[in-house]
Amino acid sequence: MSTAHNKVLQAKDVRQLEGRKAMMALIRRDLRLAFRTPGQSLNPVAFYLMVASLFPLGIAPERETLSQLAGGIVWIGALLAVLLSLDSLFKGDNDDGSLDQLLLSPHPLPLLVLGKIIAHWLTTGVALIVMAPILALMLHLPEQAFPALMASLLLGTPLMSLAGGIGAALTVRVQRGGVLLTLLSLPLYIPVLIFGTGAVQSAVDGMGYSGHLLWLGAFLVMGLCLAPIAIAASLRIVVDG
Amino acid sequence: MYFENFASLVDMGGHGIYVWPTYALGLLVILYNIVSPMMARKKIVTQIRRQAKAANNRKKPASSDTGRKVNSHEQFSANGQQQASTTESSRTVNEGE
Amino acid sequence: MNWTFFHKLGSPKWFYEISGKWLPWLAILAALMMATGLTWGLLFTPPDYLQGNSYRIIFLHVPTAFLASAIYVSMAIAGAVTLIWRIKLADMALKCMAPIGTSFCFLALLTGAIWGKPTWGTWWVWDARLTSMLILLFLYFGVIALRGAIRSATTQARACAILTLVGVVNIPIIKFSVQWWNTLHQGSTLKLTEKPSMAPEMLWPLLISIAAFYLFFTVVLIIRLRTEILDRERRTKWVRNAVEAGARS
Repeated sequence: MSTAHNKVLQAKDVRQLEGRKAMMALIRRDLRLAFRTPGQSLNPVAFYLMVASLFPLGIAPERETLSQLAGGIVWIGALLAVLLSLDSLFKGDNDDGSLDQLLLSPHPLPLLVLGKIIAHWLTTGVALIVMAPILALMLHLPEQAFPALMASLLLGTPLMSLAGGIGAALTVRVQRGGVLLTLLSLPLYIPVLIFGTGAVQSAVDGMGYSGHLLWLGAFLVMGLCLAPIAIAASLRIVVDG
Repeated sequence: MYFENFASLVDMGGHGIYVWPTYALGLLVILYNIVSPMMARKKIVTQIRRQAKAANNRKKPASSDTGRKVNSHEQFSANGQQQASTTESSRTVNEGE
Repeated sequence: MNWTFFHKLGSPKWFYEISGKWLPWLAILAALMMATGLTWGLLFTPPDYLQGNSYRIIFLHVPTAFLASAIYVSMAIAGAVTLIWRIKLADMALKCMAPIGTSFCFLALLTGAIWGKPTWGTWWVWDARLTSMLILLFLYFGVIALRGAIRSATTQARACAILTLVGVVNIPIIKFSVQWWNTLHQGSTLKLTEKPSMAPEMLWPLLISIAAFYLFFTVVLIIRLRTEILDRERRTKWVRNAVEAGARS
């Protein structure tokens, strides 16, 4: 960048730059923290594996039955695993006081919140997406549905992190708020589940699933724009109020 | 009425077993929505009345024969001392609420 | 624009006094309308050509279903007012509406399920409207649970307001998704609450029942609100006087 260009930089551009930098720094910090305690990050993945194994044990191990249910089980398992991991989204920061610091920072809180969600998805959602094909194999999901499964999970897991973040923010100061968090987040997850499994089912039937993915994409864009604002507002209400 | 006798009213062409319990449930929900607010109101009103009465009792030291710990100010029933006792009791009124 | 009227609306004392005058009349009117609508529908309408006498459940199911959704939307509006203008009365209204809405949602689900048995042969069916109503029940549970979990009154007010607003944005999405999901999986084609051309003999009691339930909701809300006002404003002199005067409802 030339110096002339630098001189034209206005104050608000600098602040925006700082905001984005702050978000990236927050993401890096969260990722570093997550890698320091890999056990904690792997819990949702282990849970995912175990929950998916419960279904054949509880229903039937026959291939035909399972392959009909496989799409739903893989999706529901991922949903439950994300729910489980949401509890720690803000709790860790709340316990050591960094949450208050975040709220005091001059950067726009929705941006920082978005950073936290991105970090959460990178540590949880991505791991679940990697596990999913293995589970789908174990549950005899028909092969033609695998791309649909991966694509729908790729769109759905960040969406679930975003939507679940609202419940996590509202319950961050509640004692034993884990179940309440689940109760609050589930209605938000139902459309995601419907379209995610719809895509997989469509693929199993050999039909197109781009419509489902487009809907998921639309929800994701909406979530990216609106959820951080709702989460930031919830955090301010619950922490300052 | 489209039912000739009471028996056909209850039976409703075989559907009575669905219709009547449904209406009974409806009546239950309506009753819940009437009784629950009234009970809540009664509870709150008695609470407030009791608190108001307690506050009044504390303001009148002469009528303190309910076994409360003796206020040294009560020995002096002169008006001058009543000033001090009312400020003290008004402080306790605030704490009590 | 005279804004004092708007701000007067937010005064709990003013509301208490005004509602005290109107309440008996509203209550009588609600009772009359509900009795009329329900007995008319239950006893004095002809049986349906297709469904026989089981359709009489409609006079309970449709009003409660409408109200369950309408109450949630009202809660969202109250929540928005709480967040924007910080009017305490709005939060009190939100708190009082929640149990009423939950009970109506629950009744709508039950009546819908029981209606399904003679119509479709099963006690529960994952039809689009019933499923959406079930999710609405979850939304209600969430608001009530959140209120119970938070201690401070101001935080309760604003947290529940945000939750209700998020929920109300979610409702059209849920309705759309569930409708879509249901048409995909639907075997039968009968819709439960489909109101095709309704004969006027059946339509009138239905309309009266709907209006009666709306009025009933208003009356119950006013009673609950008055108690809530007394509770929250108990330290004020006017509450003490009102209670001592032995105010009834």
